Amino acid sequence: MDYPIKFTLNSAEVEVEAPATINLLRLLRDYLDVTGPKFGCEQGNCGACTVHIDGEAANACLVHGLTIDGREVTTVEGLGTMEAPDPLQLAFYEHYGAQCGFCTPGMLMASKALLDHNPHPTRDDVVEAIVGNVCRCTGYNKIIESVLAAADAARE
Amino acid sequence: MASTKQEVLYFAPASLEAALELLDQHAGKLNVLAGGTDLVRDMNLKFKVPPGFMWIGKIGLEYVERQNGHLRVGAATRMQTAGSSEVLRQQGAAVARAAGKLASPPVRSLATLGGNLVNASPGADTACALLGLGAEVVLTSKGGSRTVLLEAFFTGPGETVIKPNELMTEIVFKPTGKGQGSAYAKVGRRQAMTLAVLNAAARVELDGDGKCSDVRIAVGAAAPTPLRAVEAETLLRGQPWTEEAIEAAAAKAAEEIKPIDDVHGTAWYRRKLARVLVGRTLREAGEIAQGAR
Amino acid sequence: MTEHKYVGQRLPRYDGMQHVTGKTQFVGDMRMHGMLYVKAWRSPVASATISRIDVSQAKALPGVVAVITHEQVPNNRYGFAGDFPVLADTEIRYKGQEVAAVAAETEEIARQAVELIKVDYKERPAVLDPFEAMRPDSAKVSPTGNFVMFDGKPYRPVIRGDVEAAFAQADHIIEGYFRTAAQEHCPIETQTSVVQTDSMGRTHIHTVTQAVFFNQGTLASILKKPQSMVHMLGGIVGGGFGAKNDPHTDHICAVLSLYTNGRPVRWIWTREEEFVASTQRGATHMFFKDAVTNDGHIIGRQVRSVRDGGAYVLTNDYVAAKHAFAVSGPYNIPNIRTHAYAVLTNRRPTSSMRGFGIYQASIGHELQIEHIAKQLGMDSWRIRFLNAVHDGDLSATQAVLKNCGLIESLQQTAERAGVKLDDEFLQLSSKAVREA
Repeated sequence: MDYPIKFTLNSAEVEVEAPATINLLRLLRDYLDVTGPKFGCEQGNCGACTVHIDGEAANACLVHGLTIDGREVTTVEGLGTMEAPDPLQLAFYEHYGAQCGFCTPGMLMASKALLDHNPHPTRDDVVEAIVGNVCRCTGYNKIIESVLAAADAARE
Repeated sequence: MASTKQEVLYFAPASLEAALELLDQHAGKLNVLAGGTDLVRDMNLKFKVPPGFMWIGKIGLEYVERQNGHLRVGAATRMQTAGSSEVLRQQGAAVARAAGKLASPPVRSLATLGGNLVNASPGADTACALLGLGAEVVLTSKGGSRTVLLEAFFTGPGETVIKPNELMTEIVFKPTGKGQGSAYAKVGRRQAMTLAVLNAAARVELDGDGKCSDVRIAVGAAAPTPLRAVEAETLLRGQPWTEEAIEAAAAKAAEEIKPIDDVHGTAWYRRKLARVLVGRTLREAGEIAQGAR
Repeated sequence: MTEHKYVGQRLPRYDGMQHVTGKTQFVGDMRMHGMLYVKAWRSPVASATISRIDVSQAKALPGVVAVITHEQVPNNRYGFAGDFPVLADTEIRYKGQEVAAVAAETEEIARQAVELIKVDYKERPAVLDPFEAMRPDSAKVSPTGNFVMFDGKPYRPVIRGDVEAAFAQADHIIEGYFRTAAQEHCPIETQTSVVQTDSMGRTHIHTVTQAVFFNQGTLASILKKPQSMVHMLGGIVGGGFGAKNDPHTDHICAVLSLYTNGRPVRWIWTREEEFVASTQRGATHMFFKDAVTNDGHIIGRQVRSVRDGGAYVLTNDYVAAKHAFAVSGPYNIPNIRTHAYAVLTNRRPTSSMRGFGIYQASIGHELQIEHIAKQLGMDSWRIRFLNAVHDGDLSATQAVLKNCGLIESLQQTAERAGVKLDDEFLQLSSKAVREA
């Protein structure tokens, strides 16, 4: 049995029908062709699926798809585009915050949630914000530098 | 076990009454879905699919209120909300601390206090903290409500007294005020995103003469359920609040617990941790009670 | 002074903007028309003989398009030693080993189909420890024994000079045992393939492999096709670190795609499969025995090294050889006897990870230096400087060394770490060729 839901995805209204056995990650990737959020563990341990729900960072893999009805979801695609990137995305680009790029969408959404609530984070604040996002490539320093650089740039 | 995806029901009631009605109608066949950090994860990994889900996100169970000298916390209050609540930080520090550090930010925006309690893992962070605070839970069904002390709520790993037609609606405890304090501590295998190898919580009340008028000590991941270290408490209640007394109580708590060896740690290590963490939380709660923090 | 356009400049990554906008298309992000989903039947036990594989019920499940066993694989063996099956046929040698695979309309149907596959197997005693596997009375992982063989020897030797004479001459004999654990690369992107065989019989593989051309050859051999009929589309990898050198999903998906009437198949491993069934870095045990003089010169070194190779040879002979060349370290030791073993056990075959045997060797030889320093009551910087190779020295395998840099690296490290070195070490140079 499929249930119809309607929600805002990256500022656009979408309608979709899905069964009660689908998590938000699969709803986005398989039903709506939004592949920014990645599958890394599907158990809330790696953060590769991090999206915003009503402005807060959440693991899409742990969200029951149907509960998203009437709410707002933002993925990395809604954060900014190649033509109009968010300053945070530019900071990751300029400060080498991405290597293979697979953890990057999740890292961006977790960091963005931090900056939205705390525009002047300390290094410890940044580390705290991304504890749920695993990166196997960078060793995290460049990611932290990118977020701090974005915060600095916003101050100017 | 598994239904095919075609058959699984889903409800998102808009009121508590509607939710209770559904639970009554579908008794035993509906999983109450709050944050989903346990249920959806299990669905993902183990293909554990219940006959139906009932999401309680729309029935107004996220709140922190003070009423008649008690703190009443809605069972669907998320970790993020509990962790950043000024009221809880001041008057229920143990649970604010446990909630605020649980897992990671993207989990905390979903996971709920009620879910953590009903999931009943022996090492659950907020279960230990709330047990230490002396909390009780309100279980509501179409037929009415009952209040259960947390130490009577857990019956085994993953098992509680909640009935299939019941919904946990509220968590209630007395706020800490002047001369009182609470604390929570945990050791995991890393600094974040980690289950507790062992955790502990303490609530301390000191009177004007520097004596301990009341105390509660909880230890988690050291028995089939979160445990209240009653023998350790007895060593402190009514006695002068001294470092020696704290040490003795901590040592007693380490004896009282029933830890096992498992993949997260050994019983031997858990007893060592219990002594340290019970001592630490007693000290911290005592310092708050003394107004030193 | 020439102004360089690229050298010495900070250049942005050419794929940086794609990564940060989520535009990079990883293999798992591909959805093709008519795509089918793959799941595999995996052995729940570490060692067993297989008597029967029955996929009839799985095939009959509505929504299942193809089910394969070893019978459908054109050439069911690959690897340097040609011993690794694509799908297990007569036996199971490690927990998680694939025996059959399904391609179905949805992942859920594929999963249910796997549950309908019946494999009749008889469990046998498994050997999970390499030292146990080395004993003559141990269970045999391979019919020819548990040692990976090197020209008739059960170890890869590296011999130089006369280590026994060195022991006789030594002021001190210093022994040390060091070990490294097995490690899982855990790339955030799990093993993934999207494969389609077209109407001309050409197989198109969207792959995460780190070794596109190498695997093209392997796949061509498995499919029994010329390489022109195996089209690899790769290069976008969500983390490899050696996890994605050996085929994990490409080959099974390629065979499945032969039976799906042109429909593409996609297989994305779960995190659990990644931990249980993907190649890992092999645990390595190293036993050092050094002949050392009073002033800290290592005049002889014996290393016995035991690597847990897992259930098949795969790349273990290559790793053991690389390890054997490196384990005596970047030190000028005239007498060396290294025996590097790779032992088969009933675990997932171990393979490449960042250094491929060298990382383990480095841990061993450097900890041994610290151990020697402690035993002699000497500073370990001194031991390293005294023994470091110079240009013109011979390696353990008797290659003439050029462009050595250990001495300079040590000097710069000391400076950056604020360690004050004696002048005699600050004056050393790799370029000072030793007198004969």
